[in-house]
This record gives sequence, C-alpha cells and structure tokens, in this order.
Amino acid sequence: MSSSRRTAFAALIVIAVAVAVGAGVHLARVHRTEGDLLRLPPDEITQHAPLVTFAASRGPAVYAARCAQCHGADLKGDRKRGIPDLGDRVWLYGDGAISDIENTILYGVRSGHPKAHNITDMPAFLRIGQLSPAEVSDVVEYVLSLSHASRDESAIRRGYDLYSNKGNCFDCHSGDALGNPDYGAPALTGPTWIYGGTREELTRSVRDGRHGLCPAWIDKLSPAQVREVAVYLYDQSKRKP
Amino acid sequence: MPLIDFSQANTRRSLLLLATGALVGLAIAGYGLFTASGTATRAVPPEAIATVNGRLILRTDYVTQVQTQFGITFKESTREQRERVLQDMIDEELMVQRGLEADLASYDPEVRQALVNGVELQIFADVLAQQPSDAQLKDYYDKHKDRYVRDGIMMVRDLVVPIEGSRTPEQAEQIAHEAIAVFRKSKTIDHPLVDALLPKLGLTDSRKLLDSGHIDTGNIFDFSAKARLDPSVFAAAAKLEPGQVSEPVVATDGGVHIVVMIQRAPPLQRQYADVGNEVWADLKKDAQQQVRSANLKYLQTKAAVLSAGAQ
Repeated sequence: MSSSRRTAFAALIVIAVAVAVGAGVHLARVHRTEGDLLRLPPDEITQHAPLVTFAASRGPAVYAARCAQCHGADLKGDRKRGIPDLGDRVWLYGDGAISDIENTILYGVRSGHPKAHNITDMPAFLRIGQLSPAEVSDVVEYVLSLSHASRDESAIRRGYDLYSNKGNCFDCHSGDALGNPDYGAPALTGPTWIYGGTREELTRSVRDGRHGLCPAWIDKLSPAQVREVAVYLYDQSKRKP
Repeated sequence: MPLIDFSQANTRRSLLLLATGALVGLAIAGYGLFTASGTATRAVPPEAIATVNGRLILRTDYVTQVQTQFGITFKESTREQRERVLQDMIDEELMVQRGLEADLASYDPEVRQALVNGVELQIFADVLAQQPSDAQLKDYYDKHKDRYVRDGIMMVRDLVVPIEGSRTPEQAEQIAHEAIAVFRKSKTIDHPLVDALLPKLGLTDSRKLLDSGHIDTGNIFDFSAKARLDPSVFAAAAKLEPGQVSEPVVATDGGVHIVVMIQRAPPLQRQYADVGNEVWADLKKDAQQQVRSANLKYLQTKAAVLSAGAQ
C-alpha cells in the first residue's frame, strides 16, 4: 500500500471514529435530556425552557405518527366526528396542564384501560326517555341563548328549568354551564364546540348522546414519547391568544 | 522462579480454575434466581418514581395520585404528603405482587370476577363508545320486532273431558262438542257460569292454572299461561277473543280440552318510537355478546383446553 493510500485510509478511519463518537455523544445527550424530562414533575417542565424546546422539537414526529390521523396535521380536530381541537386553549379533561394532557395520552378516553377517563358520558336524553322531543328543543334553545344565538324567551325559560331540574344537565355541565373538566363535560357557552354548536348539532347531542373515544397509548409509546408529545401540545395551546 | 508458571500446561490447575469459575457462576445465578433483590434493577428508570421487584411505579401515576388524594397541585404538596403517597403505592404494589405470587386468581371468586370484569371492560370499550345511528337502531328493531311485544293477558279456564271407565276418546270429543254448544248459547261467560255448568256437562277443570292450590280465576300473563298449559291448549287459547270458547283440543296427555276465554288483552306490538331506549340497550348488549364470543373463540384457539365433557 502506497503512503498516500495509507494516509487516506487512516483519515477515513479517523472520520468514521469521529462520526461514531459524535453520534454516541448525541445519543447520550438525548438520553440524558429525556431522563431529565421524565424525572421532573410534568407541570414543572415549563420552568425549564431548554427541556420545553427539546420536547417540543421531538413531539411533532410522535404526533404526526400517532395523533394526526384523528386530530389532523394542523391539530384542529374534526367537528363532524367530535374530535377536539388540540391547538386551542380549551381542554375537555383537566385544565390543559402537561400532567392532564399526559394522563389523557397515556390512558385515553373510554379506551377500555381502567385508568382511562370514563366517569360518565353524554346520555341520549330522548332515547332514554328523560326528555320529550319538545323538551330537547327547549334545552337546545337555552344552550343557544348562552352564546346569544337564541332569543325565544319562553323556550329559553323552559329550557333553563329543564337544564336545572328534570334534565339534570347541571349535574355535569355545572349550574353556570361552564362545564366540568373532572367529568370531561364541556362548557356550553361557546364559541368552542366539540360536536358543533348549531341548533341541529346541539339537538343531535342532546337527543342521541355523545361518547368520544381516544385510545390509550401507554403500551404503544415510550414514556419519553408520551411526555414529548404532551409538552408539544401544551406548548402549541399556549401559543394561541 | 515464579510461584505459578503459566507458560507450562497444568491439567490440575486448569480443572481447578474451571471448577472455581463454575461455582462462582452458579452462586450468582442462584442469588438472582432465588432472591427478588438479585434480579432487581439497581437504578430507577427516569419515567418511574420507584420500582418494586422490577415493576415500575410511573411518575405520572404518582403525580396524579398526589393531586387526587389531596386535591391540590403537585407543586403545592408537601414532602410528607408525597412520601405518604409513594409509600402507599409501593405497599399496594407489594400486596398485588403477593396476591399474584399466592395465585389468588386461581381460587378467590372475587379476584376471578374482578379479572373477568376487567377483561370484559377492555374488550367492550369500542362497543360501549359506539353511537348507533337512528337507521341502525330502526333496522335492529325491524329485525327483532318480536322482542318488543307487550305480553298479552288472559282470564281463562282450561276444561277437560275426563276419559274414565269405558269412555272412548271419540265419546269424550262428543261430550266436548255438546258442552261447547251450551257455552256458546250463553249470553255472558264468567267463572260462576263455568263452575255451575261443569258437573252438568260432564267436564272438570284441568287444574293446570292454579294459584296457591286454588284454580286461578284472575288475569294471568301469556308467558305464565304458556308455561303452565299444554302447548296445544295454549295455542288455542291465544287465538280466542273474550267470551269465546275453543273447539275441542286433544292435548299431549291424550285428554280432550275446551278453552273458555273470559277476559283477554292480546299481545301488543310496541312501536319503535316507544322502545328506542330498549332497542339501544339491546343492540349494545348483542354487540357486546358478539365481541365476547369472538374473543373467547380467539382465546380458545390459543389455549390448550382439555375437557372430559359435561357429565
């Protein structure tokens, strides 16, 4: 082997070793940062900007692979299917803290996992005989009035009475209709609606009930991936005014 | 000269080293196999707050538990509160693992039922979350209309011509025809009339419809009558209007019967609009049953089930 070939060969070896060492160092750093990310209580991560940046940069890949098919690449969800917008500041379960988001990702909603959100669901008030068709209509008028979309005063009065008494709506959505994140009961004051806020869509919700579903990802994603996507979604929602 | 000369082959020394190595290996393996701590991971993985015999207690669950138990944010919780929750979670895991070790599931009926319920909840998750459309519900109702029938009610007498002595079945049938003619001439048919005519017409009550040892003279549901009467007698009864008397019915016992219908509210087909909730529940129940059967079928293909058969 000539001297120039020997030099080239040696240079290649050095480059290969440098690349391997570089990759090793990078992986070790990623591993260490993931460890830091996981060791912190979820809601304290926000106090560590580099960790938020790290997770928010890795979360989109996980989101695209696992969540986007339902919630959409733009995070906006799908009203027709009752899939919530993950980019806004409105959260169905919890108040949008990283720990709340992470819990939902880990265990899902009505996923069959024992720790899933599954305290209650929206009953089909007409089908179960709790409300008559006319009463369903009155309740819808009352709900519409909360976002100033109805002015039928007598129907609104009757609807409020049904909401507060016979319909038991207040039990989950609370007396002021601001919802209850413990039950996953949304606010009824608009402008955010999971299944839509038109008269027709609301009537369908009250009449036929709703049962949203989100799978549990605990066995499909690593703990680091779950936390990364949770931080990413938290970060995205906080960017909205 | 060195104490041990490694440049020279020495069979005895080789065997000794081999045996020492084997013993050390066995000791380490034994420690690992027979003590839980031997197999434990020394470091707690970052996603866990603790491990119990290698099983992780997730930080997420720990944080949630602290928040739920004390109704505060994790940040607001004190060290004592956190320690208490962590210790409780470790204790619970230890107890669960002890339960598994003791194989509670093989003999404790409550544990077995909890496991069955847990598995069912998992496999029913999709079904429970499904929201059938009105069209699906209506279709289900149309296919199972017979389930949504309000049971009929009848006040009925089952009379029989006894076949006694030398009386032939033909003679019994003749007596039945004569009795039917008498009943049909009556303006109204009620229990006193039936009771008064029985001895004159040579009939007796079959005593199939008894209530506390007495002949049931009240209204009874069709399902109850069906359970107590001979099938051919019930079939004849179901067709009668109030005040009507059946043709002679030869029952499976060989006796000749006459059915006298005193009052009757026939079965009523309940309309879809009235039974929507029941249809919904039934559809879900059927779907759950289908999922359950499919799962059991799959599990049976994977399992080695040996059965001596029902004996």
